[in-house]
Amino acid sequence: MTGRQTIIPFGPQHPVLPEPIHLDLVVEDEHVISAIPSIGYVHRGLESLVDRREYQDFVYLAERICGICSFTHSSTFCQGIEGMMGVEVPKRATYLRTMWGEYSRIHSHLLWLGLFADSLGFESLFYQSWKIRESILNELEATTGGRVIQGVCKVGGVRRDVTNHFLSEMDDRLDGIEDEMKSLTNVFMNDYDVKKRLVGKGKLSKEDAYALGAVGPTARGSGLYIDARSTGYLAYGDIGFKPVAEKGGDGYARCAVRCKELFQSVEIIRRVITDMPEGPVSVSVKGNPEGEYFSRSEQPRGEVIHYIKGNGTKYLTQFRVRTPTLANVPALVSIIGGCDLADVPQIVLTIDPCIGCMER
Amino acid sequence: MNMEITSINVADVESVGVRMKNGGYRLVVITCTPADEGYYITYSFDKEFRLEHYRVTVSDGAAIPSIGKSYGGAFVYENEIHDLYGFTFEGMTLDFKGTFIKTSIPYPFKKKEQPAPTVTIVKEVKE
Repeated sequence: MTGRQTIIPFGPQHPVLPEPIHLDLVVEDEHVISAIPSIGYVHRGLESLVDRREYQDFVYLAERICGICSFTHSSTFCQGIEGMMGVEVPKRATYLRTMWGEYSRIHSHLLWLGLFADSLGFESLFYQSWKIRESILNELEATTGGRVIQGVCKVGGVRRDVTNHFLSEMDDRLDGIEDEMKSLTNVFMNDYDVKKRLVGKGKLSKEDAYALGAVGPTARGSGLYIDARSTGYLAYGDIGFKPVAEKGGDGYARCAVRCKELFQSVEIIRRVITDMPEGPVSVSVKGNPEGEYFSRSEQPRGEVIHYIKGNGTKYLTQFRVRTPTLANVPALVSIIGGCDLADVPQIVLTIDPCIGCMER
Repeated sequence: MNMEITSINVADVESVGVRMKNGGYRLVVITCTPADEGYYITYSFDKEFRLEHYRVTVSDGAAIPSIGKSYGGAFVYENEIHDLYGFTFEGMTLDFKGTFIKTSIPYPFKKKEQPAPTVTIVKEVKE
């Protein structure tokens, strides 16, 4: 070690970053001493539009906070309004929301696996991940009409029903998807090159993960059983839910959590399809929201909070979103400190950063 | 969802942070909301999937003690509130000095100033 420190800018434009974030890496030789994050390149101020859109229409805007967790944003927002107004959503609608939320989780995790493989230069693995993801997007398109932005959630339920016949066909197709995912995750978990870039990299202890407020696979990869689905919202209370966690605390553990969650989501979807109750999928909502509400759900990247405040008119007065990536930034800063410069891109990816989502 | 919000004084923010940390709570989010008079800053903590909220009422541009000593991750919320609303948090673990979220106008979420009402003052003429 020379003892001489240099600052190397990382991002906002970088081959492994699909979205812009900037890190000032303080390095000594090839060793990163600390990292200082900087955001704001894609801050859209979506939250400030809340007093100019009727609350029923704002669902569309909430859905566009993120292009990957879009469904969960819309369902979390609707859940908040419904909670504030005391609207009882029909059971079939909550089951359908659960199903679409889990399909979104699978497509998000497959997207991440592909991007991670791409960052290693493992192009065939990248193509394979995204090929399977296409099957999931096809299911979303067939049932909601949208591949990425579904537009199916509304205050009081969902806009579309899915016939029981089609649900059972989806169940059958899950067998093939599951087989393909088994082959895929086998590579991520056992390939020498992939393990070389993940095992022991970006270590985050259980205590640090908790103290720094980490959420999602970042927290669960460090042995924390933090998963908002454990609160039993939507159909999770009915079907029973136990989070997946790994104790390693490194990039490999975070990757393993996502791989295992793919199969857990398949199981949840199967259970939801089997137990799908009959009945309507929406109720009419009258009146306007008044009061305030903290709504939370589990996105693919972790816990999301929607704070909503209404004053009894059709316009909300306040909307604030805390996305999982924002909660994981302190953990990211912590795990980069002490790593080798060459490992920074992969370590940044292991928290599955979604910058557009984080900045709103 | 638990929506009980406990009001606290600005001077107690740090001690609440210490108490929650020692009680094993996780910091979930710090939210700033414009109120009728001033702003609400709400600290939300979680333990075993139960949310607890503590709220301070502050006036425009107030200085608030940071809870960074208890929760290292608080800096993201405190810097964000500083950049969007203009509040200062004293003792932040990482202070970006207004550059965490780069905005084209300073403090975009700050309450807009109301136009002064047109008042016509009529003086009573005494004979």
